[in-house]
Amino acid sequence: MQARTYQCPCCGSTLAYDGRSAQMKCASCGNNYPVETLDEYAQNTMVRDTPPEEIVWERPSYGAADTDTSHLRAFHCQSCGAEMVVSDTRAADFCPYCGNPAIMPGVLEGAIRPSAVIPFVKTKEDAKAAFRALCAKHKLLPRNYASDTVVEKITGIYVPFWLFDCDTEADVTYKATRVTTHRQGNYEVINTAHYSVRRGGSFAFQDVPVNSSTKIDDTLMEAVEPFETGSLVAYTPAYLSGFQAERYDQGVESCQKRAGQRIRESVVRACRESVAGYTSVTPVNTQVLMNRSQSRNVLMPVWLLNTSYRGKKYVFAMNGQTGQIKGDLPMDPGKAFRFSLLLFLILTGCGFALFYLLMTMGVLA
Amino acid sequence: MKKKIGILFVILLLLFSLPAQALDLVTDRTGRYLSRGEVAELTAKSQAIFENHGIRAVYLITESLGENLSRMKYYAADEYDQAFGNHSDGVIFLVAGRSYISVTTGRGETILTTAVLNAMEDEAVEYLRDGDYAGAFSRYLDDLENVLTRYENGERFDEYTFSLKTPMQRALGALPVIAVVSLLITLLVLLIRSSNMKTAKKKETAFDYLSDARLTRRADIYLYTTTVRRKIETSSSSHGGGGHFSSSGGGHGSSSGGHF
Repeated sequence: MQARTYQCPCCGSTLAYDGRSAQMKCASCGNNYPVETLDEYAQNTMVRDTPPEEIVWERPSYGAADTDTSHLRAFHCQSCGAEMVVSDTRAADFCPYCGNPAIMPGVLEGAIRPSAVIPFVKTKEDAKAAFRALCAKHKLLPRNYASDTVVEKITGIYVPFWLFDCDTEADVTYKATRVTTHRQGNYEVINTAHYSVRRGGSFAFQDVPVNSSTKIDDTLMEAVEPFETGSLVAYTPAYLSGFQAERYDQGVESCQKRAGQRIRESVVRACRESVAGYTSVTPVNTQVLMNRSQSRNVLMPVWLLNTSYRGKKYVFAMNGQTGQIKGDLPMDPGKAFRFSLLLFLILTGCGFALFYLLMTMGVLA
Repeated sequence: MKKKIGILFVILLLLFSLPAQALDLVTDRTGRYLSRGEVAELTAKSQAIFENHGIRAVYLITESLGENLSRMKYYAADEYDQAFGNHSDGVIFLVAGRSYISVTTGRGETILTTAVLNAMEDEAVEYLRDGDYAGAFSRYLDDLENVLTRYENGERFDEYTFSLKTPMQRALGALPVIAVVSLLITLLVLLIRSSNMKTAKKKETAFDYLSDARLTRRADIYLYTTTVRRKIETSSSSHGGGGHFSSSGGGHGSSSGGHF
């Protein structure tokens, strides 16, 4: 099977999706092509150009026999002809030999084909600059942590998400008290008025995302939210060119539980925030019914940087649409010690001087 | 002749009887608390302070004069004035039974404020509680010399707050506490910086994706009221005060005094 690349109709160079112009761009001749036009063109080209012998190598499906081996699949790079071995969930990648972007055919097709995708808006340069800016804020990072070699490893990846729509009906009861105090002679009189409070209503949620790839950390993906789903466009493989992409390996059932948790918590908090003016509020019964839930499979753009320091893995992520940055950064123990020692000495010195000054001025007895 | 001998006898009698009631720098009228050697030693120490600083420090131990500190104050002032004159610069530390008080006069009143006297007494009373009356006045004299030296170096003392230790000594004494507080602040800052380096957190809610919200049910039902009455405690002070007063001999200052 041949890995798919988008080639410039003009010069034959490999095209990559350009988030700024929302078109496929040729780095060699500078031409831009609308995705739809290029997709049709590329399909036609591939049909005519596919050598018959390669069809022999094509695997009809990746069923149990494939997955039982090692979750790997082999593709031929259309640019250099080298064989690429990638995970069977990897839908787009780069050829390790020539560096050309390649889209794996069949990985995101059929029932698992995403219904929509949010294209990358933030470029790699944006991600690198954001990461450097983030590192500049943290003085206790290991030296050279944000060096060019490290930052260059930032990778754009389309992460599969399930989006859930849900209508909810909430009905919550609380016990509440309102305490007032007044003085009566030599006595303080405390009156506690007790109330039964009830709040209810309907809440609609649209496009609550849940990461559906086990290869990517759920916490990190929730941290870079929100995704503006109004920018979703119909899926076409052209958007994957120049990025990595994964297909989902977690079904709707396993992801909807997480969406349900977040929706329920939102409803409970919304009801609680409407109960105001009381000294104490304690929930008694909380009923949240979820109706008319829907789900769809989409791809979201994320810039990822995997690093390791002293044997521990640190992952940084940036929302490829909004630029929201989150992640864990390592702390240099030597720098932390020197910083702590310096701070301790400064605080002790200043504290001593202040104490002495206040003593001399007679402020402290 | 007989008349002259009689007058001479009376004069001699008066002369010999005076030392029994006279007030020296150190006087133990009970005869139980200070040995002769201790009296001599404390007298010499007090004399040295007088020569160096011009302040006469007098130590008088008597039987109990009752619990009334105000009465003791006037008693001490009268004793001092009769012995050394009411224009003499000095301080008298009177210990009567289980009570004590300090009274100042002249320049002593200017230098030794109530707070200073109280601080000196607080140190001395520790010795009195242990029955070490000589040690008490020895410490009193040491502290007095320290205070007088600080005064001569330009320091002036507050009427209400005073410490026998210099600001530097007190600051050094507080250094371990300052260091512990600094250490805690340092650890807190390090903890905050460390947590700031971990920004990936799960989202608890989905408010970003809330497309419509209608609160249709809202009921607040009053049920009942409970009442608690609590007596307000009032605090009252029973502390006595020091400060300026006038005796038959003239103006004086005094400590708050106390019992041990």
